[in-house]
Amino acid sequence: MVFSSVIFLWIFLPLVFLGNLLVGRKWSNIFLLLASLIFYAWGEPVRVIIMIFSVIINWAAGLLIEKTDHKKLFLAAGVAVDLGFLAVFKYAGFFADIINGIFGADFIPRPEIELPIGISFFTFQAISYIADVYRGKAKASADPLPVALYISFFPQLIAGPIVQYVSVEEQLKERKPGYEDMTAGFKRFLYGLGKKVLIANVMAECADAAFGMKSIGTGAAWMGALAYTLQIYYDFSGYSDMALGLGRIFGFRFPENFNYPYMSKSISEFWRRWHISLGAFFREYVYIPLGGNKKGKGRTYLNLFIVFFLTGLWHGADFSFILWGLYHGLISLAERAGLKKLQDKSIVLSRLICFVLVLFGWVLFRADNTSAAVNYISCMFGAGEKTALWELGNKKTWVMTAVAVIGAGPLQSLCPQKIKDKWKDSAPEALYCLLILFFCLAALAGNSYNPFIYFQF
Amino acid sequence: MKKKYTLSQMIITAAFVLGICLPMPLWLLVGGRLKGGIFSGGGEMRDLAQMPVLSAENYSTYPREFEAYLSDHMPFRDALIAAQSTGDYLLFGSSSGKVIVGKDNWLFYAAKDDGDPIADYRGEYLFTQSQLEDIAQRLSEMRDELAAQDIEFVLFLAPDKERIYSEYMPEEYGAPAEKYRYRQIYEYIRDNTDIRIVDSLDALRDAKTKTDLPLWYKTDTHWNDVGAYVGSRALLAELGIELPDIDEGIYTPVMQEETAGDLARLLHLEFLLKRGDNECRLQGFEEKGETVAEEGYHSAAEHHNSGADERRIYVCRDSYCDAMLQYIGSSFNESRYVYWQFFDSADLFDYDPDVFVFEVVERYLNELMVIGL
Repeated sequence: MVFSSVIFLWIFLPLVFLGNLLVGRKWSNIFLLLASLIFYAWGEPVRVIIMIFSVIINWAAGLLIEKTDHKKLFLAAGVAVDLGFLAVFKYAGFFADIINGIFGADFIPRPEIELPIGISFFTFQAISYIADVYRGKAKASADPLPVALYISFFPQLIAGPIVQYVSVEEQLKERKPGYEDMTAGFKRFLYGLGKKVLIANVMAECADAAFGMKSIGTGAAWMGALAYTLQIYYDFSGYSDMALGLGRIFGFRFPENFNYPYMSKSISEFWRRWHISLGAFFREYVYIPLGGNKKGKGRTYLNLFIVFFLTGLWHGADFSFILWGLYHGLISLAERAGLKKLQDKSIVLSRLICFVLVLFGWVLFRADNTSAAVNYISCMFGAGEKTALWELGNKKTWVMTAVAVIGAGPLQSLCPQKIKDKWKDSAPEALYCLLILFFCLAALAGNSYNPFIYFQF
Repeated sequence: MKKKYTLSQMIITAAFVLGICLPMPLWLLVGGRLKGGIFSGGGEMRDLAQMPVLSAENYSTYPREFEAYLSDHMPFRDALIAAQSTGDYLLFGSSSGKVIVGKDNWLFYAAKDDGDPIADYRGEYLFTQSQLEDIAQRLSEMRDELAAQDIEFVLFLAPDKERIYSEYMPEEYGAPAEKYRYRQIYEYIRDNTDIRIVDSLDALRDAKTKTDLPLWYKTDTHWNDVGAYVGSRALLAELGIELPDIDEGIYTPVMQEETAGDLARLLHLEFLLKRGDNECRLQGFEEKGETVAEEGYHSAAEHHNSGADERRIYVCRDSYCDAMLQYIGSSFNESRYVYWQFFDSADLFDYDPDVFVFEVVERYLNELMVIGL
């Protein structure tokens, strides 16, 4: 079930909101857990069992870590099971491809396992729980309910943010969502919904058209790359806004996940603004345990390399994602090695260069595979056939592109603080959100309209 | 102290209540009475998803089936689609992937999965030499097989709307290509076979200079009655039947009531666009005889007449022939019209015509690669 769907907006959300109000604080956790399981089962009617299993394993591991003398053993076992889920469901095919690539095709059969929705997110949340218990930052919960809700809570189950257990431990036990939470949360949700439905979906059509071409003209290739750059930002940050908004409605304050990343002046800064929760997870549970920057330059570079490798790998079971991660890693290392001094000379230039570097990274990310990415990039520099821009979109596409570019940071950066303060929580802002809701509902209906000239038998 | 609720919060609350909580219960209560309003449109020409029934067999697919059902039957769907289409049309002058909004609100069909008329306009996917030879071979075999039964064979080509009204295409699509499949097929068949082929393109271009009225609907893929007359006149001339030209004063093109065509329906904007389009007919022309259609969608039809040409004519056609039927039917005593998707040679030979016409519009020229009895 996606947030931008009729079933979520008009059936699930109102029922869960009203039900949560009716059951009261005492039964809220169990009610929200049941709702979350239904939410997940709606998309994974059979494999919801995997998530339930993950909850049980991690809850038990947390208790064993805290209550026994074999803390490290049970942490390792818990993490191994969690990563085992990923290894089997996400990476088994990829590993088989590597082995077959080395030893010959069909050396081992390639498992065709469909990726369970959200497994990359809830698995990391589970690891966060047992790691925080191990480090003494959080107490293991004897009651499985808070742990179950933490891992499976529907707002951030599918696409994050990855919330560290320690940041919501108290909220799981004590929270009193009020009217202000409901209105602020719903407003945030509407911003996210608008980003996803009104901008990301339009950009997606353009990007899909561009990346679907075997050969594409220079201008069209750049337009397609820009479209994808905007699509992924508005899609992902829109989803995060919806998650944060929904969490707030139910009394949870989740950490921010995006902070106008395309305004970054360096790749290092980009990763402090883009998918912030993932960066925080890897910093907290990989980079720092490996020594961070405390063990000399060489070790720092290695640790960063590992983190970026894992970042790429986490995004997908393909070499193109690893390449994308390493691409960011190499630039980040170069910045540490001295490139940053050059970037600091001009804010405008550094932002532009960073944006272009990120854009090329997204081409690596979006293309079907590495050779398709190389082909696309060569088209960006003139190697492709001339392509009319109307093959990628229409007036609506160009207008929404302009809106998307302005909204991705320049507006927020250039707008005087006085106006921002006046706008925030004002009636015009609320009316604007009401309009967003209307346009989104109209767009969802429009997307369902699939007419034909002649009857389709 | 009593907490003060801000206007902003009240508006957001109203949005939540009206936009999230109320639509479904409201629709369940009064939705039936709201269906069929001005936004209802002419339908999508497909079967809408049905409400699935949960069972052990469809447990894993039930969510998808239910969402498909909800998508097709969501509350206030017609009005919301109309709102979105109207917004796109008025704000951006743009359209769905299937319809291009041209100048002066002329609409053009752009579906890539239904013949791809824009590709034809741009001169793409030209037939290869081998394909042209194969088409010629097929048509010749068909002609010979029909001739063995004393049946004349005529191939009739109708151009796409973009071909005739390219001046209303948006600037970014450029001028129509000088080399295109319609011209390829016509010239190859004309120059390399003795198959009787009728090109209505030149006749239509000529007719455009003789009347201020359009030959096509603005909001439909098809030609109107005047355009169909011009096409029919070209076909009938090949069959030895002369009809007066539209500027001879016998039949006069006139503009009549407002209408909204299939392209307006694709945009779900019939209610908005019907004021921009009109029926155009021939004043003075009266259809002779009677058409009897079999039941069903795109079913066969026969026209019965008297006092006209005694040859029996069988037309294997697409929807462009809908408007031609009155003119062809009035010119022959007996005529039968069958859509080529449902054509069966047994039906043809059963009818035992004197003339067999295969009518095809430009975007469906690929049919000529599979044509046969």
